[in-house]
Amino acid sequence: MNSASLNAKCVAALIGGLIVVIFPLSSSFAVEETIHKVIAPSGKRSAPIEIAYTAPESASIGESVGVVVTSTTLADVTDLGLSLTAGEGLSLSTGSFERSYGAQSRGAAFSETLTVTPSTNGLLYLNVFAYASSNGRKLVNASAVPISVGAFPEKMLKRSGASELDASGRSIIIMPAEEGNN
Amino acid sequence: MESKGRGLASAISLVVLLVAGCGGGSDGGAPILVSGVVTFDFVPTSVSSGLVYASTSKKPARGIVIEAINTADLSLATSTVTDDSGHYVLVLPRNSNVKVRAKAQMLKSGVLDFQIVDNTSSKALYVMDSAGFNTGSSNLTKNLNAASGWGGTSYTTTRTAAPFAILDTVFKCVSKVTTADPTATFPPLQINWSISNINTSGSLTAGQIGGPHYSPSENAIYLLGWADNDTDEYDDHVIAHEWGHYFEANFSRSDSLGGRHGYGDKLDPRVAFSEGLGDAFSGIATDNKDYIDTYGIRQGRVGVHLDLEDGNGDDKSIGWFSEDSVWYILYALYKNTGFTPIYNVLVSDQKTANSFSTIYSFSAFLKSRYPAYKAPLNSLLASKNISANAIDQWDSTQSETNDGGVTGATPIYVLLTTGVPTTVYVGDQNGGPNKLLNRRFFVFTIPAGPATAHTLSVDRYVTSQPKIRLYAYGTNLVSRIATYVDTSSISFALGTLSAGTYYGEIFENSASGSIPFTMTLN
Repeated sequence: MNSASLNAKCVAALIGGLIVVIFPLSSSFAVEETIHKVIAPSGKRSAPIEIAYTAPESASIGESVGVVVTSTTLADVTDLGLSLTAGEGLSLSTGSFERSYGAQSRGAAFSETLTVTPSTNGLLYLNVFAYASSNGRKLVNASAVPISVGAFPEKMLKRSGASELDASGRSIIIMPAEEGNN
Repeated sequence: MESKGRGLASAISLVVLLVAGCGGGSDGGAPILVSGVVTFDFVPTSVSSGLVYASTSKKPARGIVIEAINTADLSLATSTVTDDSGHYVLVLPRNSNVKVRAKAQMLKSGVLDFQIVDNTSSKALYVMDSAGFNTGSSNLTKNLNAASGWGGTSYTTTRTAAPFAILDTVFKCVSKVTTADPTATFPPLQINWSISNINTSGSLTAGQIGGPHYSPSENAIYLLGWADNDTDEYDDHVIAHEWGHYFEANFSRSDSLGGRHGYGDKLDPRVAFSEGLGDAFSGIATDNKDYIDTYGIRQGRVGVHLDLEDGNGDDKSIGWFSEDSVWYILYALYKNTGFTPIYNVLVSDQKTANSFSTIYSFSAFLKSRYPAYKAPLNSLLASKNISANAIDQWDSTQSETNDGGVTGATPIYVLLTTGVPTTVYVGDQNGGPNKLLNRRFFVFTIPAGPATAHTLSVDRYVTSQPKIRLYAYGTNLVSRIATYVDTSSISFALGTLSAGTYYGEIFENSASGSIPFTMTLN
């Protein structure tokens, strides 16, 4: 179910020393807040490709939203390509996405617009695999575009267990052991 | 090479706290020995297929903290540490209700404290607990295994093995350091890992760690764990590379700017050295030349594979500015000399160097400390188009001729003489902000005599905004930035300087193209 967000746009204009507030005749339209980010460089060896994205600040279950993923080469490469897969709780309108751009010079940029639909609340991700070859070696950057769904997505983070305090007051996460005796 | 038999875990003395006094159990009888082996599921990597779950094996969890917890009130009954075989022994009262806890922690008081924590749960420490049991009246065996959680095609249960797999790589790193220095002490380190850690920008507490990295400000490491995107727990070289940064920062000195580094990059030489050292250390610590970074669906792909013995690495970047050239030289040196000479140079000479940490400083110190290794090191340097004729850490005679194809990249350090204008170029021909030519190094010597005030005047385009930083023995003495004023010459105050050698850098944050700066020391 799509949720409609009501926003009233107010335009204030100074006319002849008076402040005039103008309300639109229609008050039932949606304003989608989007974010644009460049994924920070990884600390480990990676392909010379920078990934940036534009995505909605938040989404709702069942709401199809547009995501733009831009790949920019940071060096001359061969076999530049992009592969996108939907993570758990997310679906891509195209099912999967794969595109090859061939040999590219440094600074080449390609933007792809996709539609994703969340089916659950939480912090969901569109997996982004950008790859390129250099000197016969294929290199891959694995990153992700976050799609935040629901009111408190961080509270639904996947964890290895609930945290609790041990006798010394230290916070711990208890995981199960497989046991065996001789 | 890692020695068999008693190793690090044996060097970590078993700490056994006897409770209830010797010879007294909860019913007055002799205490019970609860012993066993702690293991974890180890998933190997393959150059062709990423993680190979079908080849999972159990490996000993070495040097980790083991506790017996009283189940009645969750109080600590006693604790110990596993040995090199993952074996432990706990001495406990008879007929007491306890559980055995294996902590993802290596601990030796006053020597080391390494913990694997969850950055999405307020840095909670990962532990693995047995079921509760009664110690009875006879000695008991309790073997614990941390399972991978893999269900055949996906992770279906708790990934208990992951923190212990990470710690196993840390054990190898520590073991390698202690072969060079058995008395080494390690600053506390938290390694952050979560199944929610993923490479995207955002909040660390939400797992959006932006890729594995060492954080100098926190002195901590962050690793990835999001399945079907990128996980690090079994990529031992990735872990050892980041631990190498921790080692460099705490035992030696890193002058790296950090930032992106990949194939084809001509890097700032400080970045090239630090990243190359991390790569080389990953092979040194694991004694495995194949750096493999897995990723993707079912972790079944390889994103990066480095053969640390392959001299035909990055053909687009060969030289003193190349991460590949540095790791190749350092790893080949290790195969020739062992780790001890490399360690001694890093923790002694490089740590206190009166220059930036680069392949030049490392090479100068190694040749000076170990003349017998001069010839093989020179051969390695020459193989990577790095001058073998540099006489010191600054290449004062300016022997380097490899400018990376970018005019103005050499000499490595421009020599400033009082009253003599010297022009350097900074630019972004190789990209930025941590690339070759983004920053240029200078060096000068103040002659013997009373300390006097000095300035560095810089002639520049009025639209540029040069910044300078002055150092001595790794300490930043002066940091200045030009203001936007309509003059072509700016004078930076360097303060009162005593006799000695000083070095520094000049750069322009938003350099575009090639920007000349003419410097005059006064």
